[in-house]
Amino acid sequence: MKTKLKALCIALCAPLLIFCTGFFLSSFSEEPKAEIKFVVPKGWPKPVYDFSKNPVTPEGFALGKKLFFDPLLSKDSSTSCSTCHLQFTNYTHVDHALSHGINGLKGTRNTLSIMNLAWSKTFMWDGGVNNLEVQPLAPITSPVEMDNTLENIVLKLKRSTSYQKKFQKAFGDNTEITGQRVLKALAQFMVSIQTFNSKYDHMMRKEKGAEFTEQEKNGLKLFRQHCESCHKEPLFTNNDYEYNGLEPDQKLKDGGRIKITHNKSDSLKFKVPSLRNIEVSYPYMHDGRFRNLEMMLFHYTNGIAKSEFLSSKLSKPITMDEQDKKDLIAFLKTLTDDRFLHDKRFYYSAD
Amino acid sequence: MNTYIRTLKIFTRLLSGLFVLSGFTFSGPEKDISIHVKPVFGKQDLLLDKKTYITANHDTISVSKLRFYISGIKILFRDNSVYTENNSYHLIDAEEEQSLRIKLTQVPQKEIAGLHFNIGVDSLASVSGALDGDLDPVKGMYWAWNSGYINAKLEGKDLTKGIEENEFEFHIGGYLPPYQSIRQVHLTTTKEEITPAEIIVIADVEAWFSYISLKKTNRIVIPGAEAVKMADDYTKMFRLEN
Ligand code: HEC
Ligand code: HEC
Repeated sequence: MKTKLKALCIALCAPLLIFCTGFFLSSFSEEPKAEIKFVVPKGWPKPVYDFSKNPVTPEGFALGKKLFFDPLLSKDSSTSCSTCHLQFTNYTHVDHALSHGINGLKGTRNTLSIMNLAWSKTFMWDGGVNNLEVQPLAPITSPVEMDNTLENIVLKLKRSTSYQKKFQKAFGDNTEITGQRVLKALAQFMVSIQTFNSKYDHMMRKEKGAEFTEQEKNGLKLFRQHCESCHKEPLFTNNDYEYNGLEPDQKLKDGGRIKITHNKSDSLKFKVPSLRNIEVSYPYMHDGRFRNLEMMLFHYTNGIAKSEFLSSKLSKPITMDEQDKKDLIAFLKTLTDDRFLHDKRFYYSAD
Repeated sequence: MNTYIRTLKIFTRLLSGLFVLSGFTFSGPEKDISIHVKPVFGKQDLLLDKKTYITANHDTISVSKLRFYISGIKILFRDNSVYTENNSYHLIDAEEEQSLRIKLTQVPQKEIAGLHFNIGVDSLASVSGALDGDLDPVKGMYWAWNSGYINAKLEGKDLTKGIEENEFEFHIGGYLPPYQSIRQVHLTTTKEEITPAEIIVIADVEAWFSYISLKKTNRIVIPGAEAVKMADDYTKMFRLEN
């Protein structure tokens, strides 16, 4: 009797169980939830970004990613954020000295990469933007980038039931699509773009099998001697604005930081960019004047302009022989994080 | 029996005690009221695009846009107490009738002495990323390339005879020293009055043009010394209607 009951139980429950797991699995495969977690790598400083007001969730990340890839954000639906910020090239505009946007119009500056931005206090080459969440307003409204308004974007998004669902998933039921939420979703995606798994990182974490060649070791030594004062480890930026002696471009007449502060001592200062994945994010500098790392290094050894505004950190000329230069460049290439550049969670996905 | 009376006595004493206590915190009735902002130009109502006005510097103009933030609203009473609105940020837009009425809830009914507010938003809001409500960047009052709120906007046309039709555009903002453009406004009442259902604040656009001549300056759209000066001027646009 008892065993019969048991058998009946099993007979009844098993299909239910199978059904449930099936349901569970199918719902899983329908929406592959990208395992997204913000990480503070060991030994790194505290992030600047205030996560308490905008915690990263899988749904918020997915929505931010969708927006990032969506040309709907531009006036004529031609240009998305990813037009200029491509993952494979460290989220820069590959091979463009000055970025190109809507109608092929040329901007006045080289695209900055997007990575490890939770540690940035200010954004853009001149630091004019004070919070990652409001940064997208700049490309959205720029007549040479997306030539749109946030108001118009919100109107367009509201017409899409698919977006409406996604906003509700990310920010709670019955939420409306607002400008704030568009910006918060984009921020969730952007802070999640993190690179900390280059050869250099494996070395620093003393992971098994990670080893620098003699050349790379010498390169690191030279880097710490000549470059570290501005391109500070582990972020490879001191998060500050400096004038590194580039001869000012007479056509572009870009004064950099002074535009924002109106402070004469900020003349010609630009953001100290991180050097992570520098190997793939050519061309270099705010106007993209250097095509490769050799030209870049030639600037630091031979091309520093004489100027009252030159950073005191570069007042002593840098001398290096050809071998040293090769070694330093070999070191810079250890900052390439292949896993990051090909991380599938950040690929475009139709949904 | 005795104990009954005693407990009753204690009870009534407690009750009256409560009354006295509540009397301290409960200062008369409270009401929801509104602040009604009325844009004018001198003695005339402000009508967008339709009407022309003459400035102190003899420029003939029409106005197409007037928007500004009112924040940190406080009502002062004659007994020195203060009503402070929480999370107080309001975008006033001459084009949007409902934006001209600011609802304040549970305002004490007492003799009022004056009204304080800021024109513009504080620096904290300007560095806090994407905010909501009237502070949502969707309102077009946030600068893209030089972060921070535009505290006040005035746009229109210079129609002075003899010159080409000319647009003017003033977007005044900036929160970083030394070019902060948020300003405090203190208005005092002249008559003795218990908190009215509606406090009418006149915003006289003529004040924007107290010194400026459109022939010389018709565009201020970045923070800086000129914006600071203009903020000083337009701060004088407010008065209470009697
Ligand atoms: C037309 C090309 C183009 C498009 C489209 C574009 N950007 Fe950019 N992005 C740039 C350029 C150029 C810069 C540097 C601008 C400057 O400093 O003036 C930049 C800078 C940035 C920065 C600052 C990085 C830092 O370290 O300070 C972020 C973040 C960013 N873009 C995000 C976005 C987002 C989000 C979008 C879509 C809403 C977008 N971009 C669309 C070209 C573009
Ligand atoms: C005084 C501070 C300072 C020092 C020292 C310094 N840099 Fe820079 N570096 C900067 C600044 C600022 C920029 C951006 C300049 C610009 O575009 O106007 C920059 C840009 C770069 C870039 C281009 C990055 C990009 O994404 O376009 C590379 C590569 C670079 N530096 C490498 C080096 C190396 C290698 C050294 C040592 C030999 C070095 N820097 C020393 C401040 C410095």
